[in-house]
Amino acid sequence: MAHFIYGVAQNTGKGFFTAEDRRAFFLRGYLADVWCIGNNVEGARWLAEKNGVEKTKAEAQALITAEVEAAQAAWDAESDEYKATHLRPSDVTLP
Amino acid sequence: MTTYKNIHGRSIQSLATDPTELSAEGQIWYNTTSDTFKTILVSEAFSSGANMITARRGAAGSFAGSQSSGLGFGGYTGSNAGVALTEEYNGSGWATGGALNKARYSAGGAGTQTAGLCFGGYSNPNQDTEVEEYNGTSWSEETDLPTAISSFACAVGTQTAALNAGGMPAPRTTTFEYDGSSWTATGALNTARQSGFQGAGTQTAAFAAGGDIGGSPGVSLATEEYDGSSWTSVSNCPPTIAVSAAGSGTQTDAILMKGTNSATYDGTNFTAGPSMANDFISKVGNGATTSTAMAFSGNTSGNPTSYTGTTEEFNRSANVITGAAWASGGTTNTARRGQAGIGTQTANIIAGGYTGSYISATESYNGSSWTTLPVSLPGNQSAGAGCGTQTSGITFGGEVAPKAQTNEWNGSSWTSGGAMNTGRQYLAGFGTQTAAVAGGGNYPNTNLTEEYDGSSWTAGNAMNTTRRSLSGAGTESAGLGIGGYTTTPVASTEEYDGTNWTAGGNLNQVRSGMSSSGTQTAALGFAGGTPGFSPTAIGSTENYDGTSWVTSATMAQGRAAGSGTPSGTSTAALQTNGSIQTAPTSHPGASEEFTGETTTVNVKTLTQS
Repeated sequence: MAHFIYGVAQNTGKGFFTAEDRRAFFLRGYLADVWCIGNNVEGARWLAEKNGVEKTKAEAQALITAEVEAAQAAWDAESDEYKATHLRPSDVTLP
Repeated sequence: MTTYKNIHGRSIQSLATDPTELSAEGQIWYNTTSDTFKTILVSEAFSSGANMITARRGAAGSFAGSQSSGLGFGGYTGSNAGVALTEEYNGSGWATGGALNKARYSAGGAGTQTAGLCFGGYSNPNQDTEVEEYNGTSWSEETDLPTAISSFACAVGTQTAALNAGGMPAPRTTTFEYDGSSWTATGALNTARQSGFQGAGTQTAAFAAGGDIGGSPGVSLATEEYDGSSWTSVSNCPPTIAVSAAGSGTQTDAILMKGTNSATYDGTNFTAGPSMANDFISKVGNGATTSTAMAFSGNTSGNPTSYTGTTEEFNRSANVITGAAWASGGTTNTARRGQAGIGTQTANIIAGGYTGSYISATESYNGSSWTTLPVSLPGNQSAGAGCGTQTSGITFGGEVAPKAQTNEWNGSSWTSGGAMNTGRQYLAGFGTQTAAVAGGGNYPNTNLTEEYDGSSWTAGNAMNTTRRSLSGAGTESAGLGIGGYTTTPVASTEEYDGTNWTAGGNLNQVRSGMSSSGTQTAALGFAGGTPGFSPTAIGSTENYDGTSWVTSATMAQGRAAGSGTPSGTSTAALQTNGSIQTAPTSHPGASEEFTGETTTVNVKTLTQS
């Protein structure tokens, strides 16, 4: 059984994930509203309750990579002064 | 009328509120408020602990240690050479310990946090004979094992009375005892095996349960007990904990933990225990008892490259322990980074920031939702500092020239205060509106300190380390400057006593652009970025007790250059907005709320059914 499931869900603020949720399953948020979720009953239930859309790892990674590449392009277009104080956006790899 | 006292000879207390002391365990009382009979019961449960600093599998632990003084060392983090990293657990979080002299994984462990023992293991390309002892600070090399072995089927005991059995290469039956200076071969296991349960018992009263016997199906359920000289076969263990389980306790009162499963062993029978939240195998157990045990690290079954630093604590107690955790807070109306934050978890103000351009918008938080206020900062500003409360706050500095602006907030409007002597950005701030401190910042990086008295800034003594992008917490006479960036992110903390800065404990993870909450002796540091100035964000959290930092619960989404709760506490903090990547626009409007670990007595209502 895979250790994680991946999904897209919009963070709606207070109550989107609770302290009880965090104690019950692994949860990490990424760009493009992608969430990496512990693959247990509570994690799967949480994604469903949040009207999330489950993705394969490859699909989720592609969503993140697209945002990273857009951010890198934006950084490339910035001034030298900006670049001197802000590192170029780095690649993000899902676990 | 017949009364309880008439029947039983004893009366029952009538209480308006339930007792909160553990000493009330076993008592029965009548709660006059809820009109119910109640008692306090012992329960068994796992609760989440703080993550290790470095996720890993194949670590070893101090099996004679405890939940409040654990030790984890070695392990696999992607290289077959293994790692030498050691971490110490204090019951709340992990801190860095002295490194092993020989990096390795799948070693055996014994002893305690201040008298630990590491033996054997694997370090590419072979099993190892190396033995090291830990004194609470550093490891020293001791007498080697007679044979190179890793992945033991049994490893228990103390630094001066340790035992190992089985292991690899090849599932084996060998048993060795250690007396603190030399190893002696003793009675062999009846079933050759490796990767068995480790962590419960002593050198003269141990047991081996399950293990990998090679081939197919390859799993043994055999359990054997050791009496100090020979092994005797007893009942089989459950398949759910048969290979690579962690453990704690004694030969007659042990708990075994693997995946989400646990089981207890009373010296005769195995019984299913409560479930764990995290499905990892090859965990490491710590604890000489089954009342308080812990399991940490490990990997996903069948996926040795997916390893973790997850920690779970087991408690058999009349206390219910609820682990610290971050939960989602309200979403701000304007997503931003670089804003100044003022106040507490339930009464917070954010002002200014960067959304792709600098802004002056101010929002107020009530613990549930953010409201955009009709008043804004006098000018656009970002990367300044803030402190004080929701009704009496202050912001100062920032990256919009002249960078020396001070703004005072009275709960309904902003007014200009006295200008700083040295304009700066990415600085730390702490204190109150009438007794604030500004430290560090840039450009260029500075160590300058200034104090504000409610009307003007006065130069103070400089910080010891010149830095920018640091965080501040505490008061003018007892403050903290945490982390930041010199030419790279740093871990150092400095403590301010109202006059001078002195060195405090180092963060376990270097970071800049972090947020903080609390006081000089009870602080929480969270979020930020590493290793760059404006890097990929992290959500790790650390607790400071005035001496050292230990890990705590991790945020769901790492963010850098957001804001914290300078007037908050180490058990109730708020992290708001910030960047999740270095992109100018990758800053969500999310916030997260931290709640510290709590302990309450397990009060139950008695029913007739």
